[in-house]
Amino acid sequence: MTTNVEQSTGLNATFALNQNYINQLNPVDIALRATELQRLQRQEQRLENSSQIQYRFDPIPCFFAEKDWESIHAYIEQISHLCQNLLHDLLHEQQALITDTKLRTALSADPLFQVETLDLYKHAQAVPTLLSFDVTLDQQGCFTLDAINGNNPKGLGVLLQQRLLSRRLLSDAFSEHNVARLLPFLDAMQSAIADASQHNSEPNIVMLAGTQNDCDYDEQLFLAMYLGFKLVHSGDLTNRDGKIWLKTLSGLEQVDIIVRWPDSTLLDPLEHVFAATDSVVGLCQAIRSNNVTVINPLTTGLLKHASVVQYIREQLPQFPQMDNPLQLPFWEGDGLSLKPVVFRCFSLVLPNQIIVLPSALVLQTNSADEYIPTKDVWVQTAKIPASQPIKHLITPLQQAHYYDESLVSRTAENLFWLGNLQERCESHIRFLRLYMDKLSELPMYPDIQNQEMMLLLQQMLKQNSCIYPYQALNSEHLEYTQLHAAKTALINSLQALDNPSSFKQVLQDFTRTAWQVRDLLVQDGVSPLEHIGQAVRWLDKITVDTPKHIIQAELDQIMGHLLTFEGALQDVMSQQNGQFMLSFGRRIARSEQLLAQILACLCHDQLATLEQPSLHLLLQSQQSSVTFKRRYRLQESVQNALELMLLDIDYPRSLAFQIETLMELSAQLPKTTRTVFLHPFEQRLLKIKALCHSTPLVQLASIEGGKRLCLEQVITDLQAAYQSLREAVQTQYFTHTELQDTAHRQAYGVIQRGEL
Amino acid sequence: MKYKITHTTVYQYADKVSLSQNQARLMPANLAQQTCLESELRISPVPSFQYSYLDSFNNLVTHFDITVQHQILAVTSTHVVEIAQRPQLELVYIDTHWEAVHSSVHRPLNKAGLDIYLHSLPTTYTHSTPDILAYTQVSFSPGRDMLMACKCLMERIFNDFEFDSQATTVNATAPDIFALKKGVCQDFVHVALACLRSIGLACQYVSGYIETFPPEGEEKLVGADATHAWYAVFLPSHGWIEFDPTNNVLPSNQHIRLATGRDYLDVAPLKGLIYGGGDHQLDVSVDMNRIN
Repeated sequence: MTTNVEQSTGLNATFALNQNYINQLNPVDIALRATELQRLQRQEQRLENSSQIQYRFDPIPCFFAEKDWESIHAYIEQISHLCQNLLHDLLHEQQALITDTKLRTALSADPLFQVETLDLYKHAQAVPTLLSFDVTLDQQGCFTLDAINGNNPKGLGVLLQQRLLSRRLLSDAFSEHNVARLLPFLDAMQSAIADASQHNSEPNIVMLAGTQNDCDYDEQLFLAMYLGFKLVHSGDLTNRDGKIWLKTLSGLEQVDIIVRWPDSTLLDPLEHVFAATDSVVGLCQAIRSNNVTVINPLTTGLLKHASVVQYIREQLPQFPQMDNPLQLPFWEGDGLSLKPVVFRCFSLVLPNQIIVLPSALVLQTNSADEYIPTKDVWVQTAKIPASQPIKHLITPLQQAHYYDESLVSRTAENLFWLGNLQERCESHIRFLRLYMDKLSELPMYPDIQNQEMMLLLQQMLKQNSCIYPYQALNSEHLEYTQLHAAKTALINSLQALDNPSSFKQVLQDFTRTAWQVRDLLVQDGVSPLEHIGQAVRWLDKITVDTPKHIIQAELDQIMGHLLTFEGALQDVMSQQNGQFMLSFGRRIARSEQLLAQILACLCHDQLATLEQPSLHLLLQSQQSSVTFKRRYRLQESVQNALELMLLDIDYPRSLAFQIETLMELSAQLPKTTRTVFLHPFEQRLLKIKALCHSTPLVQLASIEGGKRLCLEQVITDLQAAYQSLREAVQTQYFTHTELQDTAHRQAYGVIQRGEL
Repeated sequence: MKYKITHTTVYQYADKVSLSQNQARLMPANLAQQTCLESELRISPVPSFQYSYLDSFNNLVTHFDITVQHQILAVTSTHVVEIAQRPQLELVYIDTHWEAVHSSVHRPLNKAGLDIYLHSLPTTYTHSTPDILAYTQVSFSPGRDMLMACKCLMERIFNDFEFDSQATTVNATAPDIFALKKGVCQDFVHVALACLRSIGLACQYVSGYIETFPPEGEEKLVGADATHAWYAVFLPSHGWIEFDPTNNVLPSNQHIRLATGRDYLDVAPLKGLIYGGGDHQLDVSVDMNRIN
């Protein structure tokens, strides 16, 4: 169905405008602009190379004469009104569904059509809605409505990015043509959203993103930053007391307004059985109780349904069939070519007003029939635009500064695990290095003790007792195995698919977690990550026949990339942005692996014959041999080793040092309880410190019945205390729930108050 | 007739759950033939937040959050419900052929009519197949009286399907069950709903309790009862008429209604989301006893 606007004389003025502009250009100029535009686009989107750009902005602007744009403006306004009326009807009288059989049959059969979602808005006030319409034009100025998007402002961010870049690049043309500004629309949008809160005059507004794997995640990030909203994931939000809260390191912050991006009407897994993965538990009740406003409302997603588009088309006056779609000139690298286009227009629908964006995103269809953004429409205006402050693009680094206010718990948790996994990776590499050294030495010194030591090492590797997850070592019966088997154990530890603690798995977990905080990464941090990604792929290729020195060299390189990544991150990250969380995770991981290695090396069943080599193994895997020798000269004893590795608060690899550092770092954690009481994690840290220092060294080093029982007990207690510490941080700062023992105490308090 | 019902659900988790957010549809509805005289819901650990609301199908939903770490969640609802004898449909003369009911359902005149129409649409659990349609058409022959056809369908499901609590899972859909010809009350209801919706009739899933009796000479065991399910079909001028295909009866004074919806997913007695927990074990026990 087609239509044109009354008294349209086609798009002659617009054609003339574009033709005049193109006539002034020469191919060299355009090529230069295209290159520069591509460079700017890559820079703003933080892309490593141009192949990652999902769309290319065109260096030729698309001008629209003011008179011609008025027709489009009127058309968009009319469609917006119809959508507004239909939405109102769907939420209240539902006359359209009752009277229009086609609409009723098609819409009610759609799984997204849920009466429970419509019911949410029965008594709700109208909230601002941002709609977009894909419109095809022909040369005579006839329009066809192709699609409606009522879910999210998809395309608006791209349009804005393109406008900022092309305006920077073509500033002369922009000012010569008095191009209508976007800022009034964006300001109106910001104000309307802010005014939508029913309780708070300074509402806490967040933009709910899809997932980081979304192809338009960059656009979501850009738009959120531009509008000054916090970009959050569904996991950052939690429902408590019928309200929606943002989980931050400082505690829960109530959210007043959610600008949603997920393209679904089913956003609450408690009330929508087939809720989307990016959903928020309890969102419906929060909406029902007017505790949160969701923009666009959940129901507007229905507008994209083909039956609705058809229904809206039928409400418009009908006009003759449209000619061929409008074609616009595009730069193809060596010349201009005409291509058919679709215009994505935007409108802000307010209860008493409809505001149409004085621009549109020009879309081209690619071979997969997907719409690709290419340029924004420059609407010429007779009005001289008032001078307005230029909003600069905010770089991702600046996005990190946003966290100065409140570090989102998800980010804090990711940083915690990033530090933790980095330590695990490094520790794994160090242990494998040691293993390979011993494996190489064995043919040269094949005495019984070396053979037994190799067997013990092999058991440690196979049973993951010195590397994560630090399982208890069973070394009671060491059986002779051949060198080939020892090498196989090495390869398994490196790459085995069925081994969740293989080096490959830990490295993959590390890179995955690093990409989760990509908002905080700078280019110097991205490059090592990409190298680590390549290393993961290399690990798949190694076999038992791969020479040890090649494996060794690759592991050394990975270690280098890990350290470069850490350096790059720490170089730009402030404490407020979560650097301390990175260290927190790392110190806990280091403590846990040290405890596990002490247990495996000094408390095994072969102490009678392998005590001294095991001691060396511990010191080497902890990179502490040199310090130990310097300090204790020839007095190589377990007691001295324990003094160095457990109790020396000045030695950076000792447990005591980790505990002191954790205590210092914990000062960075926001305190949410009264300052006169110790926090649960502070209590646990104190317990760890007491456990570490309270047993005399002589007792720890002593052997009874061939076993070091006292040390074993202390290490086991410390391991449990560390687990409890992790749990305390997890519940208090990441999930914002309560520990079991805290709850018991609170319940006891209630009883006491009752008795009084 | 008065009944006391105690319904206990216990979840035991392998690992600690740090946050649990749930919805319970465990409060019997107040209807013309059913009055809930007393009602209590006990939850352990004690929820940090709890509220109730009426959902789109007028079921009373209790939402509760547990924010303390726990490994056992226990929800016990206790009710005293009085049931009045429902009118015997056998004594009522309903001369309406099913095609007329279909036409009426598919030509809604107002919002109430639209709500009924929405119950004639297939759902994930109740979508139809050509086999289900053919099975339905045996009972719903052209021009047949609606009530007779509905009774016929119920009776055939009762005879053709075997009660087997091990045959299906909670996720079985009507086509799965139709192929197996086995299942439990929930499954028989889903088959019936798929049949009725395959010919465009409006019908509801009904969850609730049914009074059971021990074998003769034996004492009734504690917790031996179970939740039950049946369905209701819409007849203009008579409203929703209930059918129990598991027992081949029209519910009278031994069925207590908890909730209604399009299928089981709308009426699940307890559903929710947890953070942590790992594997879990579920134990449900129901006692329904007459009070003199």
